[in-house]
Amino acid sequence: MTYTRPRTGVYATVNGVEYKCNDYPRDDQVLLLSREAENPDPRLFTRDEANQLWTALVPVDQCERLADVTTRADYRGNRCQVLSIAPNGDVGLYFLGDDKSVAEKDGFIQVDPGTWAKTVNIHDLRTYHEQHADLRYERWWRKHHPGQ
Amino acid sequence: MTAPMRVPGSGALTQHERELAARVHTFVKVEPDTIMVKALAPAALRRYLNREVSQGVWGVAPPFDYRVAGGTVVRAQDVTQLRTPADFMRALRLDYPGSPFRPDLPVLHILEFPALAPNQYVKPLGAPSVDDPNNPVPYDSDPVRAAAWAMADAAEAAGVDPNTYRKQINPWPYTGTGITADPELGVPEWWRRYDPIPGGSTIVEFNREGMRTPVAVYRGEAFGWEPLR
Repeated sequence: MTYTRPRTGVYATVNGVEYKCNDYPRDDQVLLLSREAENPDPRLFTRDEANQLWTALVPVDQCERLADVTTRADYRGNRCQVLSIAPNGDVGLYFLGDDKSVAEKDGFIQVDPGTWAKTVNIHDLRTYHEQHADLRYERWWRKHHPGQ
Repeated sequence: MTAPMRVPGSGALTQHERELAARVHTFVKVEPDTIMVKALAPAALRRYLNREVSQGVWGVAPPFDYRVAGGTVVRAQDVTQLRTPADFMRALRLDYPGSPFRPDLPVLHILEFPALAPNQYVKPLGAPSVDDPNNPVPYDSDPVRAAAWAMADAAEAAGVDPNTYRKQINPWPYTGTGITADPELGVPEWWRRYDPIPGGSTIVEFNREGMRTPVAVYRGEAFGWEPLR
């Protein structure tokens, strides 16, 4: 059985196609990744045989879109981050709310400093969605509002 | 007659004292190049190195993603004097209920990473509960909620940017003042969204003898964590 993980990471759109990035932009460039069998865009990508993937280093300005993507859902009315979904429907959640008395009542436990987690069934989730933080906007803001 | 509930941390302060505590946060900032620090639970290093992405198993192992870090973090510049697991335990108050951290741990692993996007971080200002086992304060009680609102009001009065803090209720040893609870080693704390770990971040090991050893560096989504020893 195959399944798609909930998406987490940086995604760039270049020439109308969305690619996963290896990391946040560095030196105004991002490293695009592709695990397709064929080169997704020979104008951009070269083969990284050691890691069995295609990579392309492109300027941020060449990205039509650049977003920090996380997956979220509501569990018993609590906004949570979805980390992983198993084939049997088990879902790993981190609690995103501000009132941990609610988290405790709903069975979340603190697993490291400031992190409250629970494994639940996928049928208990509502409002499953992706959160996209626009990294090009943040870059523009920092450039035009230094020190803020 | 029962004693009145005593809310610790911010709940034990006058409103003027809360405003003074909040004013600190108008000066203590996170910039994109600020190095942040997070204490990792004892089992986390292995999970990072194994590139684990897991939904977890209830009561056995919590959910995990080797590409992500978040929760309570502090600035590296505020903890340079900490050298041993016991130092970190005390300064970061890692003795929360159910904590896997112990002061006699042979080593403690610390994730060090650049802040990159300051808007991923908020000051947790609010109120705690359950300080005194003889007089426990349920953290859904009215006194706790009132203290949390009072701390948020103090932040507003002190001119703290409302985009930089959130009113939070957490169990003690969270203080609600944005400063960890140790009276001598307490440091400013932030809460980071669970966002990707920036490439170049390192996991550093501190042992009981005070030796600091980098043990892994993150090379990004595709290349994972590279062991350094």
